[in-house]
Amino acid sequence: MEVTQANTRSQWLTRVHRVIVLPVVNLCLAVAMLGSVTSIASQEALSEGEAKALLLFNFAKYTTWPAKAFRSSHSPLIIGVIGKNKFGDSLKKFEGKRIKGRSIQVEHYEDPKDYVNSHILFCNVENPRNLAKLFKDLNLDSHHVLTVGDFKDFAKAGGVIGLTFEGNRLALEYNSRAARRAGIYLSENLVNLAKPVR
Amino acid sequence: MKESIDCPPARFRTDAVRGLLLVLALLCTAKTRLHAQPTPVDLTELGLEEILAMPIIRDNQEAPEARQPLLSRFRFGYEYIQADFQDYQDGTKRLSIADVMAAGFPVVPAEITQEAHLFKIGYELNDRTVINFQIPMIRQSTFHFGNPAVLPPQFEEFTIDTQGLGDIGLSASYVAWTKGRHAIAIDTGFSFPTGSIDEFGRTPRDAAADTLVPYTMQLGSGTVDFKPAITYVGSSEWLEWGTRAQGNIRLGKNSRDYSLSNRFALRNWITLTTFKTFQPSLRLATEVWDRIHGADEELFIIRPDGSRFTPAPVTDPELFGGEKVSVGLGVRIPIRKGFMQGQTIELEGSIPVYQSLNGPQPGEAWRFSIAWNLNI
Repeated sequence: MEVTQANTRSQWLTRVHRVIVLPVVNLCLAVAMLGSVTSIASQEALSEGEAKALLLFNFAKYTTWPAKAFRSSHSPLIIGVIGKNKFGDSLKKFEGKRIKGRSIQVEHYEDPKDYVNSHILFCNVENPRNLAKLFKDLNLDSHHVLTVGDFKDFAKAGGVIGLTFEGNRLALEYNSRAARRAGIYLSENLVNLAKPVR
Repeated sequence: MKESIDCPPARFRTDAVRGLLLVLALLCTAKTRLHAQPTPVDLTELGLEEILAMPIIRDNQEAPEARQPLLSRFRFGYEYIQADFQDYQDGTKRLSIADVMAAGFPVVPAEITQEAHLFKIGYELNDRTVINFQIPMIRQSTFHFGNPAVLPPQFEEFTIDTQGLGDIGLSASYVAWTKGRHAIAIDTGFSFPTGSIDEFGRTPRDAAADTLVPYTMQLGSGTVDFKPAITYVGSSEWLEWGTRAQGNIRLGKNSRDYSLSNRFALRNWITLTTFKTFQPSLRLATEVWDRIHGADEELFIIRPDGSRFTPAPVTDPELFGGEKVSVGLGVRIPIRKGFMQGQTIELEGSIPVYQSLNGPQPGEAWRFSIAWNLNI
């Protein structure tokens, strides 16, 4: 009789494990995870355009231009965009903010002659083959422009910083020769985060 | 890996509960820390490292990959998995080899080692869909004890090995939903019966000739298997987490008139991504599987009176199935510099903290895997 009771109890305990413990453990884990999700879901999510606009803004913090790149000590720091605006309003939001005592000004260009006025130039070129012509028009040897692009091998093609994807995260490629040619200095904080290309 | 026998003894129960509580405590701590993270009042407060660490909702039309050549959409991977099965259980009760022999089995597999080399190729059809192809090479080894009272002396201790191609797999993964740092993917996949179910070896059944080896030593399932899955992945600036529910449903019976266990697994994981080159992870997995349906008649032994019996637990289709909770610790090592740039190494070891088996059945002792991945 005692053996039967013990067996029944053992089976009951096994059923409790099977029916209650396993689902409860997983449910708790899921709830804990959802709690984490809720806590960060309230934060602003970054779209691709928003992230790239933030990077351009940060590049301004970590780059030093020669004094002659500005008309005066009060001249703005100009972030220019060539081609289609893929930033939405993300880049415009930075207008008026100050970096190193200079206010940010955002420009969209159609005429190649205007490129030279910018300090950071995002090159959204429809056809990457046109890049060589763009760099020629830009005359990087005499203008101090940090060129940024987001198509494959932008930095290899002569741009200073290329934006690429590693999985679902952005990554940087850096062409030190192009930076030297443009006469600008990028701080180690920026360079160390980028993959060097030749 | 093909059919694996899985589950921990009663004395582990307290440790198992403690372990699970520890996992939950860690997650709760993680949540608290997330709450403690100061939410930037202005996105301009985000630093370069923070931006680069954040998952991005990609603009489909302008994604750089859309302009990349076809070759750059390929992913290659290799994974080595080893699993070891040892101690017998019936339910959660632990049994000795002598207990199993006393239950009427003259042959008792004492240690089963399964190894799988998985070669993987993936192709990104677009930003949301990836097609995966997998070729497994399997090697298995089982060390047996035989009952000296009924078996010839050479079978008091013996080992059987099998190796070869397993069941190849083809699947598609589709990112069905994304919002901010959260995504849900749906997988549909099949494995095909390229692995042998006709493996032979020297067993006590016939000391002079090779005979069919048990289900656990065959290299494939013999059936087309449907493998649906749904995965949720989320991330913050320094954590990634996810949960994945996956089934393995055998479609019909194989040419030997049986189908291996159907399986369902729920895996939860959390990875610390604070460090770019060393990312530790913790995983908690629950797995449930049923018995083998049907039977391979060749594995039964016919007594002189015409009745049949199974000489070893692993030849009895009813002694499969059970449930298991395991905890795994791992590390992901993304390589960012040098000639291996762009590649990722992942290592993980896991042990079951709870097993309940339709026994007597050997339980899983441990599992180890190392994986290499390359995105061109």
